[in-house]
Amino acid sequence: APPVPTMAEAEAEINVYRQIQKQITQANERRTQALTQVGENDMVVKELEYLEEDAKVYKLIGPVLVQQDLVEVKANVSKRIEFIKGDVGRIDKQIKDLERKLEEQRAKVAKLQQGPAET
Amino acid sequence: TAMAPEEKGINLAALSLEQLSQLKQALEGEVEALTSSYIQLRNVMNRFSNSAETVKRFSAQEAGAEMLVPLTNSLYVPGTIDNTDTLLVDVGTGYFIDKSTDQTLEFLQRKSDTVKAQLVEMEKAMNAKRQNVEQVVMVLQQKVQSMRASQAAERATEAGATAEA
Repeated sequence: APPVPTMAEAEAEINVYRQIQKQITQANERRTQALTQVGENDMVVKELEYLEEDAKVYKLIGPVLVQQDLVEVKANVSKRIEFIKGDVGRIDKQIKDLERKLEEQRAKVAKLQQGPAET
Repeated sequence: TAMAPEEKGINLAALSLEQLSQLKQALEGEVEALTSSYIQLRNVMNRFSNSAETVKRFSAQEAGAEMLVPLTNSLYVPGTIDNTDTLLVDVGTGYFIDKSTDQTLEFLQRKSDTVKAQLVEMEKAMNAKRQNVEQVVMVLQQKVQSMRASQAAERATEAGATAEA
């Protein structure tokens, strides 16, 4: 006869479930943060469009304002946006994987909880 | 316009009292969060408006005029205004741009308009959520009433049954 799942086993699997939920929440937080950064960089790109060729742009590096070349700045900010969007894509995939794991774990827990009742 | 309880996308009539109550609390929490964000955005708009005022007043000054230069929150030293034509504007993500007074005011206006547009969207969302709360409360009250009515009817039939027995 198959072994009866103990309370401890069920508890352990429930904890695994909660862990996965926590990971999903954290991934969503990272996602929101990344999207906020995309938004901020987007605003900078739009502002740069209003500038004449000879406009003076500076970047704050530590405590120092360093003058930058406008064309370079536009390129850098655009690159940064693409990079962060790539991050968002990766996080989205992580979330999908985690959600699948969560569903598997949920089924596992449900089965364990039925086990004791059947005997 | 009267809204059918199903219009929220969830069939409210199918929920239990406890579920309705939880839904009401969740929605009210969302309204509170939206309201707090709304207030924050309003504050941001005020700050842009104050900045614009400061820029205008500053540009009315003459180069060479005396001023007090802040070194810390409480320490100022006397100095003179170098130029009132160029302002260094923080555009985000660590970038600063030299702008004229007019360009700065235009920048502030753009920012302010963006925030204003968000405020309008927020207001719509808040009103929609408030309506949802009302719908849930309505269905909740209806259920409680019909429960009381059927409980009263049960008691009446029981009383009748015991009387006959």
